[in-house]
Amino acid sequence: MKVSLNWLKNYIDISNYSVLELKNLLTNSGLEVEAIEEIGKSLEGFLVGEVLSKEKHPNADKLSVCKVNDGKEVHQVICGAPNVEAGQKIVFAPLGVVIPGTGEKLKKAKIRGVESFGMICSEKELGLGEDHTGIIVLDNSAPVGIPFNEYLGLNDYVLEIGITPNRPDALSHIGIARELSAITKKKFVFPKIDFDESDESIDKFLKVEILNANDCPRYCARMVKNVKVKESPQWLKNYLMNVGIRPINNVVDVSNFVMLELGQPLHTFDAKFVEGGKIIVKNAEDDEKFITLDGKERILDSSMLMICDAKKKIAIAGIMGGANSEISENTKDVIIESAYFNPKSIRKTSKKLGLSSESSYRFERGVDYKNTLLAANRAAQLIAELAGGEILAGFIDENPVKFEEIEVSLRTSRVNKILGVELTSDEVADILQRLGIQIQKSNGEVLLCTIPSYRPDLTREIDLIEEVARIYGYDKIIGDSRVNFEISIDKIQQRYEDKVRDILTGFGLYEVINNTLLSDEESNFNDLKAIKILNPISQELSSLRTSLIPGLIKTVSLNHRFGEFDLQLYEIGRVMIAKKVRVENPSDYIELEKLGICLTGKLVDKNWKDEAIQSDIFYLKGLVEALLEKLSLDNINFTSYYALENEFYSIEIKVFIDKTYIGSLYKMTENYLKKFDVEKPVYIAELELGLLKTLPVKRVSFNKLSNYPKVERDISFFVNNDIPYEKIEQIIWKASDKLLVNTYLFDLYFDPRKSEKKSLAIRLEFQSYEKTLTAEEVDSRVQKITGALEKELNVELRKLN
Amino acid sequence: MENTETIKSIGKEALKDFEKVSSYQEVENFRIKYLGRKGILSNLFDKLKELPKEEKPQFGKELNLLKKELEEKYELLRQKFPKPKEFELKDDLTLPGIKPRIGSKHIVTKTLDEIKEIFKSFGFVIAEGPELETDYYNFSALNFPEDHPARDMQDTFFISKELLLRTHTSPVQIRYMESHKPQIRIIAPGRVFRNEAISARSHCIFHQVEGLYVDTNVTFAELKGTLVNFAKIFYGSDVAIRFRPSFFPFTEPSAEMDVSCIICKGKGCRLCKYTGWLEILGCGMVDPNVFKSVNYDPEIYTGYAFGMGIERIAMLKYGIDDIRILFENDLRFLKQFKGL
Repeated sequence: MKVSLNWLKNYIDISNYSVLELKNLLTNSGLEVEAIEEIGKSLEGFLVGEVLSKEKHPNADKLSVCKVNDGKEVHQVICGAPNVEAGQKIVFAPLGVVIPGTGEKLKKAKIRGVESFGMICSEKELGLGEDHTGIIVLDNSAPVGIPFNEYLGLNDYVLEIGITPNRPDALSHIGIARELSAITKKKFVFPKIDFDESDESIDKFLKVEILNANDCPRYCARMVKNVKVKESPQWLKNYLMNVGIRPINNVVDVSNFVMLELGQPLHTFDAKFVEGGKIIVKNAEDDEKFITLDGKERILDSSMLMICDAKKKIAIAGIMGGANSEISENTKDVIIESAYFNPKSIRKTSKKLGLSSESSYRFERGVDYKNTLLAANRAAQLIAELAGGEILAGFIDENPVKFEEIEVSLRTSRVNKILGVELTSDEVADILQRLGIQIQKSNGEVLLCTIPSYRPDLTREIDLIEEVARIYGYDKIIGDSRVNFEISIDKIQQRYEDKVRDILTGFGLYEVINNTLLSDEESNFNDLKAIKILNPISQELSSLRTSLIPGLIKTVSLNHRFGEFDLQLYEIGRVMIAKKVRVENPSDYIELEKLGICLTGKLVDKNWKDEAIQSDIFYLKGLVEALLEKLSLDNINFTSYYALENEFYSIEIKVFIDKTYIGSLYKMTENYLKKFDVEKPVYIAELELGLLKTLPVKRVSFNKLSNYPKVERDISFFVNNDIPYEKIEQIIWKASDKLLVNTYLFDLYFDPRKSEKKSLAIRLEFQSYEKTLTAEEVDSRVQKITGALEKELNVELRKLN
Repeated sequence: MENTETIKSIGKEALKDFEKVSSYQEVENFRIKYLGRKGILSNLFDKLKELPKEEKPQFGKELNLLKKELEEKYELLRQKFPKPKEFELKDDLTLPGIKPRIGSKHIVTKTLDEIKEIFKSFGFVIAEGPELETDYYNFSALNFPEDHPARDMQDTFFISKELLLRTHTSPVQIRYMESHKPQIRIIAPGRVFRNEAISARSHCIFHQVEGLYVDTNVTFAELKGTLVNFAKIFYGSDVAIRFRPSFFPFTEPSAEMDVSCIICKGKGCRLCKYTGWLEILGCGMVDPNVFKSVNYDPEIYTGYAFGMGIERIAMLKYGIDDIRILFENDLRFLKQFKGL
């Protein structure tokens, strides 16, 4: 809400406060001043001047030499405008001012041999418009010597105040004045409403009938006949323009002025188009159509409250008038509507139609129900003043549902208990009274308070406590730094996700955060059903992710664009998977916490000693294994296969802890990556972090160390290509006793001369807790292992040197 | 006799050669000449084998003495002129080190970690809730009446009439109070969603930390005390702090906490829009209606709640002027914060 200080000064004396002081006063009481606009600042220095004489320039046909009085001195000025004449009131730019049109400082000049000490300005030079064909000629009544911005009413400050939804009372100039009065204790003056009525009575011309009293508890009207619709006077136009409202004509401008003055939205109808002398307030019918005054056709339904005449609809109540009864240049008789509409009804209709206005904004927050008639009177007064015409005698005030004053009792002890202060009941009462709250009764502890009609937000004791705190001043409440807490025995340990982050960061990975929202196409991963947003910002962000994988690939893609091809990333985040096509309630979907790990490009750069290492599925597998080990998870199993038909990945390795599936490792397909403009292999693991958290962890405890040395033996053999390594390991372990403590595949190659076979070299580690193993003891065990491999897999042993 | 003379002259010659040695290479030449496999001494030993039996002992004894003497000389020379090390590439110790890979947590995570640490030390524990919420937990239970303009404060992504993406972490308050009895002292970090066009200043996702403390006799003064201490730990003890009234449906009285601008220290600059203040968090006393929705008696219990946006705090702290860069995950950006 924009508040003009010039306007505000009509209701409260704020001359003792600077703009910054006012800003702080309002902000500290909860009306946050978000910006201060200085109107007319660019016109500083310009004066209203008078052309005393005009003579032809001796050396130029089109130039004149003028004498200009600026109120203090007379200057010689050269002017090129064809419309300059002696006797005119003009805008004079003295030397030294900055010309807004050019941004340059005005200097003394010699034009064709004659000196010029200033300038007579055009609209364009002042930045007020495009016209540069001639100078601005002011009204003859303009007082010579006063600052031009003051003459225009453009010497104003406008405060942009962020009004929270609980404060409809602050959506007007009197509302802000009232608030300042409570803070500063300065007197607040309500505008004087006083006018003559004609002999004719409004009842002769208009009847009002309310058919939905719940949504329209009060409807007032006034009529002004024989008005002359025209441009508003400058002062009114300035007030409106300074707060961002475009002036239209005197009648419409008055209704906007009264809304911004009193907070009561008004509507004005051209009485000629209100048929049957009747206004009926009733609901629309389903699928009816109506053209609002912005020229758009609206489709109505039976929940919407309408203003109708005897034959047709003429306005959507509280939101926008109809094109069919709009005020125009030809309007003679005006009906002024001032009503109280049910805030919920207005809000519902406004939401349904996607149409909100200054008017609906105020109605849906709740207007002052005691202002209804008053605002109609104020508008009638101003229309009659500015547009002529006669105010008909009497008014209409239909009020089928009476408003009740709200009373709230407030315990002083409760104020002190909630705020942690020690206020007396008198101090509390003083603050409340400053806010217009009447104290009916007080027994030194309980105050019985009557809430003013403009504060619909105050209905409970706690609401009054906030008012006390606000006006007392938050900064006066002394902070209490004592902390009183129970030690929580079960929740202090590090969170699981934090541990995972620490581990993966330690492994050299970067954490990324991707958007939950994706396009429909992106969210389609592995046939998981994505949840759609009913009201997305755009198609690119219309579905919820079902997997972290698309986001990770998007990250890879972005980095590829900037030439970064070597990426090791992880992300922890939630995904949502729909169980049904239409997700309507919490049982229709699951929300899961996932961990994504993504490797692409080089894991280790080539350096001056060593070759580069490219990421591949085995590095990813090893990384996941290492992570699970760091998380103390035991019995890790993998099930791997080539997914020949899958559109998203060509390899999947499923990971199990015991028999619980905890996620998969993938090599993504080229085709899928191409959709993201990624042309290099990408390996991604996606694990069920939420599930991992719940798995039992290996208890970490000390195992006795062996006092005897470890003995290593390497075995090497050819074996058929189709024998999986896993199988070989199984046989080795089966053929061994507990002295075998570790196996380690250290070489693998394919001999082109033996194309159907591969060669493996495996290190076997033996150790005893009881003694130093002899060569014979170890050799016999190695023989047993190799024997089993020969027997079961038909391996061909190779001699190692 | 002739043999003894031979040994003596060889001894003399060797002594002369010994004196002349001045380098490792000459030490080697010395060794090869006298002690090598085909050297002079080796020849003499061969000769010894062919001597008549009676001459052997004497010659043998002298020859062995000579050998011992020459070996001693050689040992002296070896010490005096040791074998020079061969030059290797690796010996250039100014070559660059080989670094292990460095990873890093996201700046948002790190900022959250810092905030969590502080509140943990104040006795807060961590709680969580779902990102896809019901209207009830996100709004109704938090005293956002249906058809009330307060709902416009947070532009919402709807999934259905009942389901939405949470617009704040405050629903965790309700969920936690439903399943716990006071004393309650939690912080709830998490992702939230707003249906806003993405720009440098706002994004459709961001992260919040919610705080809630409920007990008998919790006061606004305690709220101030706790949050002032948080701000002083986080921003430094010289930071100025102000509370100003605001409105949130689920707290009353409500406040916004500002800290003096970290760039201009309150003098006014572009970052703080020349106000000298930066808005850091919203807070207030838990509204009695919120207690009613979880069946707490507001006459017995009072509490405070607060919430802050992590991205905003991180952006202010590290001078990031565009929120979008946080979720683009450009490695050049991520790498800048690895030292934190």
